[in-house]
Amino acid sequence: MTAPQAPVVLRRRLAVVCVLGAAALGGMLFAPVFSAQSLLLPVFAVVALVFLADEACRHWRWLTAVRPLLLLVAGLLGVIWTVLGATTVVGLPSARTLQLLGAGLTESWQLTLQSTWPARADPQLVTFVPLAVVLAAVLGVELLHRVRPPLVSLLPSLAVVALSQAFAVLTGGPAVVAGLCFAVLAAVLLTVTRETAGPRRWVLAGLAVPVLVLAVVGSLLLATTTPLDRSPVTVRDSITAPVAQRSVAKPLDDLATRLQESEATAFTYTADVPVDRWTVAVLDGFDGVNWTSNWKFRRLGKSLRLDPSITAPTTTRTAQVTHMDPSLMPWLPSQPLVAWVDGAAPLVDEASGTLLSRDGTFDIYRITWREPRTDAESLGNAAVDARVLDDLGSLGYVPPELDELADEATKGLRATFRAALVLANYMRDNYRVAVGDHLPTGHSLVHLRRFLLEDKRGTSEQFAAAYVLLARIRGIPARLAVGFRGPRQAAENGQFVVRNEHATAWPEVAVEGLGWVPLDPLGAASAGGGPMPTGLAGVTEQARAELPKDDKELKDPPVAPPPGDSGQQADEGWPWYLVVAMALGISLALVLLTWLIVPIARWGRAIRRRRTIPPRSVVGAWAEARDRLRAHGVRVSPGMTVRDLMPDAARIAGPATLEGLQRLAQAVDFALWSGTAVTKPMADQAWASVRMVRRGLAARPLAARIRAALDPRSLLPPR
Amino acid sequence: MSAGEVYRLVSENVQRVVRGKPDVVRLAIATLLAEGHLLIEDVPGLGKTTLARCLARSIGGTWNRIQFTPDLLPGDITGVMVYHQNAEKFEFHPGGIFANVVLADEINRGTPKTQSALLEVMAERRATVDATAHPMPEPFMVIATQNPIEMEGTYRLPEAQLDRFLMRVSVGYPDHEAEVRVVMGDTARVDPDELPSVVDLNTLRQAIVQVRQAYLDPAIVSYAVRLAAATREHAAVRYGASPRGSIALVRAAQAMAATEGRAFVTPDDVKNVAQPVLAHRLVLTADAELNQRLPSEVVDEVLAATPAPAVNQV
Repeated sequence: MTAPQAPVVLRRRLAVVCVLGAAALGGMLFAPVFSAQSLLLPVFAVVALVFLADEACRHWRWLTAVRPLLLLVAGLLGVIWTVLGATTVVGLPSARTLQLLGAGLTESWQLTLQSTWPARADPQLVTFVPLAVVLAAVLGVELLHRVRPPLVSLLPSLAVVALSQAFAVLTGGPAVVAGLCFAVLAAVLLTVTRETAGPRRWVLAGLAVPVLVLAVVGSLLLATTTPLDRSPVTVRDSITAPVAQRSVAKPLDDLATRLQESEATAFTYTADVPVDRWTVAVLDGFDGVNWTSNWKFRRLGKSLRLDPSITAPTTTRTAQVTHMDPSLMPWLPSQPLVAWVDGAAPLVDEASGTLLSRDGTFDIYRITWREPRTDAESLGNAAVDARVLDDLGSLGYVPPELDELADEATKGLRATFRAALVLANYMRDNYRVAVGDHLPTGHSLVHLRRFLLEDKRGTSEQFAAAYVLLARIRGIPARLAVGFRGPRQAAENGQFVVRNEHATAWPEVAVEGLGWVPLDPLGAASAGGGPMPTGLAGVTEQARAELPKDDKELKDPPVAPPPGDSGQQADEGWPWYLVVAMALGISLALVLLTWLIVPIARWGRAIRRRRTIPPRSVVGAWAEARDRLRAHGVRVSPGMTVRDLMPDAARIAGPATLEGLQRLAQAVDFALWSGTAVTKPMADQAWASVRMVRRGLAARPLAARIRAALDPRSLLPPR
Repeated sequence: MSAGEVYRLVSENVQRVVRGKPDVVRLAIATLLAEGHLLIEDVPGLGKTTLARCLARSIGGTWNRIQFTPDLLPGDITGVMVYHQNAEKFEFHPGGIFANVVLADEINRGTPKTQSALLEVMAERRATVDATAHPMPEPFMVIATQNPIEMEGTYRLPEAQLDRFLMRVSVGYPDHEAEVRVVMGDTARVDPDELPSVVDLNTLRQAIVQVRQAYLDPAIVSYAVRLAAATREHAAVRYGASPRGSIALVRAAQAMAATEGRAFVTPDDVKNVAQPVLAHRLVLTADAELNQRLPSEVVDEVLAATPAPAVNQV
């Protein structure tokens, strides 16, 4: 390699690095899906190997003919070694490797969409990301070598970026940083691949700086002031994991049967402290006959994020389910706020924490969950989360007598958690728990009406369902949970044995900042001999116990009434048209601001040219006139003098401009070349000529003047 | 009398006959003021000889016309030593070159040997005959003409000898109105030989001195040198302008400044003389000639690409 070639090689190498960097950036934008740590090694291994392959092709020219193939193989080896390493034999791909590689192209992206995020970095899921990076890197490098302009080589990376954003949209600061990184890579690519050199490149770079600053400031403002108060739309929204509906039993229907086979073991678990209750299924929809749920089961990823609406401090707890009766399948005992599950890869409904075995088999699993902490007084004064009501749907027709009953049961209190406690008290006081062999069944509106108004005797099934019905009549967001109360004592082997007799149903009420809080309308006679609730249920019990005994002393807590109660509209964020209008307005403002850079920069330059020592001021006057005319389409070259501009200027401007140029030429000639000292009056005379030129140009049509005012090319030196 | 005044008088006088070609007249007078020699190259009938005759007549000096033919000998130009029988000694009989203005008509019809004799005198301003140097009168200017289209029986001037001409100009066809005026002038029978001389030799010499004293900013000199250097670096040029070309450029620019009555030189002066001063000094590459590129195009490109001095200061 000869010395003059070195910068060229360096620039080409830098260009390749930019293209590969853009591909890697596109891959790393999948971080919200898989986490950055999971992607770092495969993504960068891939681009590093592709880079080395390209370098090899540069070093050994005869490889250039097979460069695309070589780059592809290098990238695929990167995927195989970092993601599918466990399936290789001595580092070489096996049949299983190739099978997974194929599945990576066809299935892994679908499985990822079916998963909660961050997803597990299993080969079955993550493979498509490094594969996309490989394709973007190989295509990008080939386009860089073969196609002009160079920015075309970033299109494959841009496609990966678009794919990543279809999966998980970046917002706020990370989006700004990612966008700037891509812009910087594009700018460097453009700079190192430009043929022209010298000061012009630096002028371009100088122009890029204010534009970049403007972009950063604008993006940051946009990121921090965005009025969108909802999660960004992703393709995942409409995709869930497929569930064989026929294999899913209805836990609420089975409740009475379970209670009759009370000695049978449902499941066993180990934990440091007893678990108050295990949720099997959560039902929040009621059509008058059936209790249903709009489950959206997904593959459980690495972990589940805590619902941002839960602002109370939480305690993390862990238990291991070691055995389960097959009759319970495919449901897996769970908790409302699941954090993560080890040992199994079940499906999960993120809204309720319900777990479902993916294939109907049981594997010992260790579940970790979060439990909000609060105290009885705060809970007794808490507001319900009224936003949940809309998601729960309508109850449909409700008999007027149930309306009256709900009003009486809540003592006319507003829809707060205190009203929910009062309702639980009412049910405890006025209804009996059925025990024995002939237990009442059914949870339709007919059954519940009979339970509430006539029999007043039922199991937890009727208690919980009736509670939820009455609560929702009063505007309290409530849902029905089916599961088991845990035993207080462990067996001799240290395991807690949960039997069918512990099966129960209970209502849960959505409380602001706490999420779903369980209540116990059955009272001391609850299932399993009535162990005192612990955890959040225990605090609820304490808050209930602290209610005034005398109904006259019951008052609404000092919290804002829910919107359904007062008729006020909830703050649902800004209307979409306002958001669109604001986005358009901000975009327009940014564009206008960008355009204004040209006249502002030109104005500043004119001041700088004028306010200097007289000789420079005279030259500045000449340059100013030249650039003004250039903005109006007069052809300019570095070799031109003032007089050279006149023929072209005469074509577009009037006699004032020509006279101005004539005077300017005389002033410049005398000031610069006569050998006399240049004085300020000379400079003033030159600038007076410039004003004359401008007056002549002001006579041009308005459209031409606007174009000239906004033309950024006049900020560059003439070529 | 200032140099500008001299230019005005001579120019007006010449243009009584040579109509519609003020730029060519100006360049010709500038060559005279810069103490250079002028090569007028164009097709027949455009007034090359007339221009030379008018210029010669306008100054009060002597002038000769040498018609170059293949049988013209160097002695016909420089002069010969003739033996004088009565005095019994050799006497020098000066040739046609001994005049203030010499019109070398159709110079390319002379043999190279004869051309060399003329060009040596042009460069050294003296004729050496039998080891005796005979200085030329001052001012001394050769106006040569040549016809570029009839090549049979002609001897093309070598590039090294072309270099000795300060400028090469083409008269060019006049436009319609100018041609009408030319015809009218011919009808009125304004004979170049009847033109009065409007400046005497002393005045001309003073004007020449004034031209040489015109102020030259170092940036202007640098600009001229950059232009000449740029012709050497141009891809279409095999041999560019020599340092003599740079000197010629500056001197011609000084003369052009004088024609405008200025005592200082501007970049425009340099640009105005760049074509006639530089174009005939360039030797194009074979590729460029095959592609029918012209030296004037190269000079245009060099002028456009070389930053004018004022531009560099902002």
